[in-house]
Amino acid sequence: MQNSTSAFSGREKSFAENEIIVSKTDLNGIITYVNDVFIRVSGFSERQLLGAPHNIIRHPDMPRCVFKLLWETIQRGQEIFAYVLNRSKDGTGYWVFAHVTPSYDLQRRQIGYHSNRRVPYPDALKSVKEIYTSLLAEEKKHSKNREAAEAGHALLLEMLASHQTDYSKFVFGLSRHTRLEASTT
Amino acid sequence: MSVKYQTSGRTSKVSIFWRQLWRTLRPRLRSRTAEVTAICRRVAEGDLEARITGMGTRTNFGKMCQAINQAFDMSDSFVREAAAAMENCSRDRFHRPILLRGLKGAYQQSAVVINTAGLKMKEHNDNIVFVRAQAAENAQSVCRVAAACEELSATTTEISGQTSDAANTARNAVAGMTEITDTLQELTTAVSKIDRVVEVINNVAMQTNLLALNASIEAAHAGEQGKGFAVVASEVKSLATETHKATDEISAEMKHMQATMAQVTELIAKIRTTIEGVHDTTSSIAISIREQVQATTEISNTITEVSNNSEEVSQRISQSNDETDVVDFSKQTETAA
Repeated sequence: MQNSTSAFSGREKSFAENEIIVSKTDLNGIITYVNDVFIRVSGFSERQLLGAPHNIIRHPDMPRCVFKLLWETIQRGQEIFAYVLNRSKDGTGYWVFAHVTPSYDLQRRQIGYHSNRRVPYPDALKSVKEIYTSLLAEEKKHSKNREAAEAGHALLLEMLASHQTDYSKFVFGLSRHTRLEASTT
Repeated sequence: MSVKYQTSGRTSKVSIFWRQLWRTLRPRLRSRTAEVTAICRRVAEGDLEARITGMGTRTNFGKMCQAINQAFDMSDSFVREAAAAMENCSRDRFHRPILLRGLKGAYQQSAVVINTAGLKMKEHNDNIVFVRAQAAENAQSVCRVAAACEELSATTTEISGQTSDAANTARNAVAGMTEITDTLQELTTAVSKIDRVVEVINNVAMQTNLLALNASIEAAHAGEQGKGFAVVASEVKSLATETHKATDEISAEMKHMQATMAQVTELIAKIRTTIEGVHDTTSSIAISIREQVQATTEISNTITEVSNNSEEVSQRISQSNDETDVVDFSKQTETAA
């Protein structure tokens, strides 16, 4: 996955296609559960992960606006899918197709968030890296984190508007594997 | 003996160690088992948030806990995916299937079934969208037809009135012609009366002529004395001749007049027949137009009905796509008894 024009050219590792990395957090993003795949791929122990903030695995090359969009979406009680580059304990990056959803208790009170991460679809990853590179370039123009995230977010919305789509449709349209027709056989 | 004693002594030391270790571990194991049982019960009750944590991964117990978590994760993932995919479908958004990647065995098989249903819903929705567009177009067409029908109805009614007027006019013309024919008849009678008068005048003139001739003969007999009388007789004779000539002329004119009148009568009869034909045609047109008015009114009524129906169809179809009609599944749960 060498791409000289993008920031995403460091060491990368992956996990099996039939595996799902699972984690749960409380409403503040503090990890309350990780599955065995999470532990293995991240390189942290369960003890290190439980109670830690979820951004312990955040990769510095990820555009901030993606996380802004992610938090805004799940705080509205909606699900979100995103291609995300995570970082393991040893600094190695690993791409995931993350699905984040709000979690509820039996009384339908929101108690936290749940994240399933799958091996990303290669046909989507190529365009994702291109888009994230332009988002990062936009964000680099700003010194303050918040301003950078705002600028990247604005650019992302502009891209979606120019394609006359919304984010959810856009992210599912990135790979032929995530289309309805492909998921019925 | 001593060897045996020593061995049994070591054995007893080892067994004491294990017994003490068991005594220490048993309460912890008991409490951990109770913890796992409680978590499993929560999940059995439908609380898919419960997970076993902090049991390690190296011991068999830890591995068992991991396996239990894996089972919970799989159920949790499937439920989240299926609910989200169906929630999108219920809002007519068909871009989000259940992701098959990572789902295993029966979970993946069920996901395929649900995705296939989603695809079917998408097809139906596409059809509804198509039908809705068609129905809207149809409704518009029907509206236009209804308007045209109303216009047609109005025009036909107007034509009906005009045709009735035309029929009346033709009827009046026929009556007028009858009057003219009657008048002409009277005229012919008058002319024949004049003819008889002329004949009388002519007879008078002829007899006057004879009288004048006799008078002139008598005057010749009288000789010189009758000279003056002969002049008078000659004058009377020439008057009678003139009268005869004049009556002949009148007679000829009368004959000419009678011929012309006969011609006029014939022409008027022809015109009368023509106008009667026009009257008959106009009357049958008026009848047809009345029928047409009735038919147009019927069409207009039917079209109005069709227009109302198609409007209802359009409304129904657009309602089925109204997002406000979608049930909020997050608030609708069957309360466990």
